[in-house]
Amino acid sequence: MSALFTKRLSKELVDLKINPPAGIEVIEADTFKSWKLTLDGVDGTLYAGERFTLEFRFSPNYPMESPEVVFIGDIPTHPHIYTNGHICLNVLYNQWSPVLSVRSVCLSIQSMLSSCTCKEPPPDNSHYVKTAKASPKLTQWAFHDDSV
Amino acid sequence: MDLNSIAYVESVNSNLICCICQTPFVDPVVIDTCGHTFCKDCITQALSTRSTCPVDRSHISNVNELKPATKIIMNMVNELLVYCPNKNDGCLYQGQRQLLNFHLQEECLFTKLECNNEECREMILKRDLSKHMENCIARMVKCETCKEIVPLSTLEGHKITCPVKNIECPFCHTTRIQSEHTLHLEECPDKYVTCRHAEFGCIWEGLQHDLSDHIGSCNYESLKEFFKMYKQRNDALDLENQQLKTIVQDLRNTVDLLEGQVSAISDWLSNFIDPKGLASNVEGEPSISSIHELLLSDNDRMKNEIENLSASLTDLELRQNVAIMTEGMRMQEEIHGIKNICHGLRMQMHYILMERRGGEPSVRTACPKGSVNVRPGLIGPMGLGRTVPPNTNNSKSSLDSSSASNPHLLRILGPESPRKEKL
Repeated sequence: MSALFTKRLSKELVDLKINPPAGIEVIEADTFKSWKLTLDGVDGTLYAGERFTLEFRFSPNYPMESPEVVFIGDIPTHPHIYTNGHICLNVLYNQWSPVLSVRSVCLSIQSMLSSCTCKEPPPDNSHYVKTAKASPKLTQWAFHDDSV
Repeated sequence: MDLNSIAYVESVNSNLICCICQTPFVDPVVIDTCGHTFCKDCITQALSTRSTCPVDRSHISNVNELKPATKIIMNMVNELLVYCPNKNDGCLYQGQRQLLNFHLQEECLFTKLECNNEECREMILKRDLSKHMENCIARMVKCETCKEIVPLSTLEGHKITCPVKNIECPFCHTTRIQSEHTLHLEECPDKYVTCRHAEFGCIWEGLQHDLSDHIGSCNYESLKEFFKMYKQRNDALDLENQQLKTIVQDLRNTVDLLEGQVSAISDWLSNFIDPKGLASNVEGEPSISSIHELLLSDNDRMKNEIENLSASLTDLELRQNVAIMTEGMRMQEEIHGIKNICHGLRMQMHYILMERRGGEPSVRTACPKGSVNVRPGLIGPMGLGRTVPPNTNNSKSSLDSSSASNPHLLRILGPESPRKEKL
């Protein structure tokens, strides 16, 4: 485990606990392997009053490699979120950059939820859920919606 | 010293923070094309994963596009106030980051140093090191006798073996240093010794300095060459005896081994030689020889049966031949009868024809003798008024009786019967 990995994650954790962004809270971060955070729907959007749980799983190459990020428990109904919790968001896959962090990913997902105009599952949801592998990083994603 | 993990005294301007490791730049470099600054290690690692700037994703073709950051950036991060990494151990130092290495190496009393003593190697705060060295259980101490420097832990052992230590001779009670003691023990004149011919029987015992006097008068001294010779011979014999014993032992082992093998082989062979033994041991298994006997008796029985069958077959064949023969004879005789009747009819017809022509018929009766040799063509013109059937019964009965009594005769006659039938 590289020094960068542990130092960066401990710094991020301290930062998230001391100065948490609105509607985001760390609920479980006992190891540097996986964290759980809650994400509140922003008031004035379709998800207002709802609370979702995100799981981050870090590889030892983090932050050079993106973390695996999935919803667990109650999955929000959203055109880019599959009912198995996988999220179709480019910064989690090919557009990841080491300057991104847990905080910035949470904010991206929050903004993706907030910009939603119609609560419906992705069109290919049932097929994807049947064929998807456990890790969303093993999926070949095609990103086409630039509106979020 | 890893500058990434040190604590800063004041909060650092966010422009001086590397967005990969999120700590103030260490050895900052700037990407030539887009101008973004990172720690050298961070960006090198990031570029090995993906060749784009982590901030704006502009393409970076090679690491040569990385240039050291400008002097002002360098100075700003180098002059940041930091705490000594030994703060938790009690060091109160805070100073510019660039001076930290000097502080740690030269000044900081809370740096941990390794104890020099071979068997200790404990990490001790620099502050406590001199005190530790005075009390370290593995410190070096001087042997007061020989002045040698030895570890404290081995001092006790050294004192016993110290070569300079004075040791008293148990015989003459003089003292000398240890290194000379061993030699002295051999030569000490007050040592109690036996005569050097004790092994041959001299019973003299006494102090070493009296030994030379004794040797002068020792009876064994004059015989020492003789003893020496016999001793050598005895030694040689001993040696030879020893060697022979070894050879005998080897041979005995070989014999034991062979005996074992022989008994194993004879055990094995007894399974074949003594079938009763095997049969009694193995329940319900017929022995090989009894199977063999069974087969032999079967074979005999079969042979007898075959002989019986062939005899009865021969008998049947004879009977068959006799039957055919008898039937043939009977047919032949009937044919003769019919021939004779024909002959008679021809004669009568001849006679009637002659009568019609008006000629005087010459009537003649012919009585065939039942011979089978009479040809109708030769007899025919002579004519026959009537036919007398030959007496066939006699010949038939005689044939029957002869066939029954002598089958060989029948066998000879058998093939001739077809020729007779042609007639």
